[in-house]
Amino acid sequence: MSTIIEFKNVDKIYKSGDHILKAMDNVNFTIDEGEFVVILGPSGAGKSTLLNLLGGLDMLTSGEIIVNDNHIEEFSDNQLTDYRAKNVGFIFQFYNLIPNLTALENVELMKDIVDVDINGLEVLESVGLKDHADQFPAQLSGGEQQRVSIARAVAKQPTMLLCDEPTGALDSKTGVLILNLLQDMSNNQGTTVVIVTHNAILAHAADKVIRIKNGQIECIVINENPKKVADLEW
Amino acid sequence: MLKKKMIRDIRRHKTQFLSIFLMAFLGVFVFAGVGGESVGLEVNVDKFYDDTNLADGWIYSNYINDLFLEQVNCLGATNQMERQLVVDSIADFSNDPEITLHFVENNTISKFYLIDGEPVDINDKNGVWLDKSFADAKGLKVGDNITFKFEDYKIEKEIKGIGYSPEYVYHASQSSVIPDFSKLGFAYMSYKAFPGDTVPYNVLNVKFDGTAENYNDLLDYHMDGYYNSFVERSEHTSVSQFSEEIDQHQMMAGIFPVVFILIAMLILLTTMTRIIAHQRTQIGILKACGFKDKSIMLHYISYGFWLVLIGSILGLIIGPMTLPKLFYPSMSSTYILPSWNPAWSMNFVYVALAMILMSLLVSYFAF
Repeated sequence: MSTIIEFKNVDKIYKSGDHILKAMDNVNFTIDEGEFVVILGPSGAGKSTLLNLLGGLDMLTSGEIIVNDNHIEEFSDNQLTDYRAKNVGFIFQFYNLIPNLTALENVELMKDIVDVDINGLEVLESVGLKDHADQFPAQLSGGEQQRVSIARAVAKQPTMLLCDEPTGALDSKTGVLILNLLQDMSNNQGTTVVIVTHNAILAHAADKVIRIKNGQIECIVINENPKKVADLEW
Repeated sequence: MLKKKMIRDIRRHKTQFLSIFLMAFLGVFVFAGVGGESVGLEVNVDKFYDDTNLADGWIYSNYINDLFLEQVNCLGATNQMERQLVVDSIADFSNDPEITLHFVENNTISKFYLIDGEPVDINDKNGVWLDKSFADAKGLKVGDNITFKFEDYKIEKEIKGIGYSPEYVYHASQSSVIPDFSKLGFAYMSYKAFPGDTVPYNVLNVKFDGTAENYNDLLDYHMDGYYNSFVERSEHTSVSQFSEEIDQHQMMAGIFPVVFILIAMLILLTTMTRIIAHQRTQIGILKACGFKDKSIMLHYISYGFWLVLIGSILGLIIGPMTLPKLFYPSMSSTYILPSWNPAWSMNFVYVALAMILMSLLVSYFAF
């Protein structure tokens, strides 16, 4: 597998008056194509900051972020928007679907920003929601909404899926379903999946675990034999 | 897909957006409607004045003879003249209606505008061409006879034609602002119909080049003492009264729509501010998915745009078709014109475009 993502000496500093917060402190790691990566850490460790930097939603203070040989830290706003459209699929804790679009319409919304041929029904079928295509988010359960969110993210065939606490608002049973789905996408479709979580149990299912604390990488563990999500003891 | 979102958002806030649409529609509807009416008045009366070659000015004198004519002709700026004898008479009816008689020399300036009957014949000694409003009020028609009394004379003439005059678009007595057409009117006759030996012309209708002020100065300089007064077109009672009426309508066309348009923009501003504030998370998601800032901004700006555009177009179409029809019947009871048709002005489109542009700016600032 080839390296697709590289963080090199990345710092992210927030300044508020005299107060300085170093959210990322000399962060270095790589992620290979198709890896199922879990980023672990306590609240305030910098997990979401890392995801936002990788997803082009925030700009680093110093260092390099290289994705598919592109230095995204040098991108302009328009280039970052383009990068997100073509390379990144975001999945958030609270689903964040457009409430007055149906499940199908939320997925096909991606047609407006990418040239990829999107068959919304096929994508919904891949997450087991073809029969719910015409329902609005308010008519779906939390797990179903999250699956629509995943369908929306994968519909544009991104390079990577960035998931910020994707099961945080779900019960454990539904959470397992979602994580299963994400692991299948990584294993069967070769999609690079990066999941930010504070749930350490998920580490056993990951190809690579990046532990982060106080904005610094604590350790990076490579699992030679990652477990199936369904086999984890929650 | 964002269009579907927009339509559903508008439907969700239908009360506010319906108000925006209605105010935008009403603003343009009133502006184009009352504007169409007032522009129509201007166009119709200007055409009437052109068709009848309304005089640029009237020179009043006790006796306008050939020498007087020659002197006026020598002013240089004069390019057309016609003498008239204008006298007040009483028509032979029970209510003693006042009829202003015009004994015209050749009916080339401030011409009689024929509606029914024969054209004015300068050689006809027995014919009279009568004010249509008076004729209608008295049930008179072509072929009837009518008698007028003025000074020591009493003359009976046959009605040869019925019509209008550009000098009587507004014609009311001193005692009443609203005309009573059964009590007053006008009539045109050939100078040959005058019962005396010579016609004591007392008005010279003139057409001249240059401004009225210049012409007045010329008259003053060359003919001071030889004439009583000079009335330029804009000072003529009928012309000025109608002109003021048009001005009032134009003012109305300008003021009322401003209120509607401002209300529309205010509702749009508050509605869009609330929607955008409420949808901040959705905006963030769209950005995270890869929508450009410009696309997102255009999406929200278009909410008001389409409604104001549709409202404006409907206002532009329906306004001039309907509002003038409400005004013209009441106007035609006071003013006399041969035609009452609304007219179009590009100003209506400019105002609609300005409002559409304002809606874009308002939505932009809400964003």
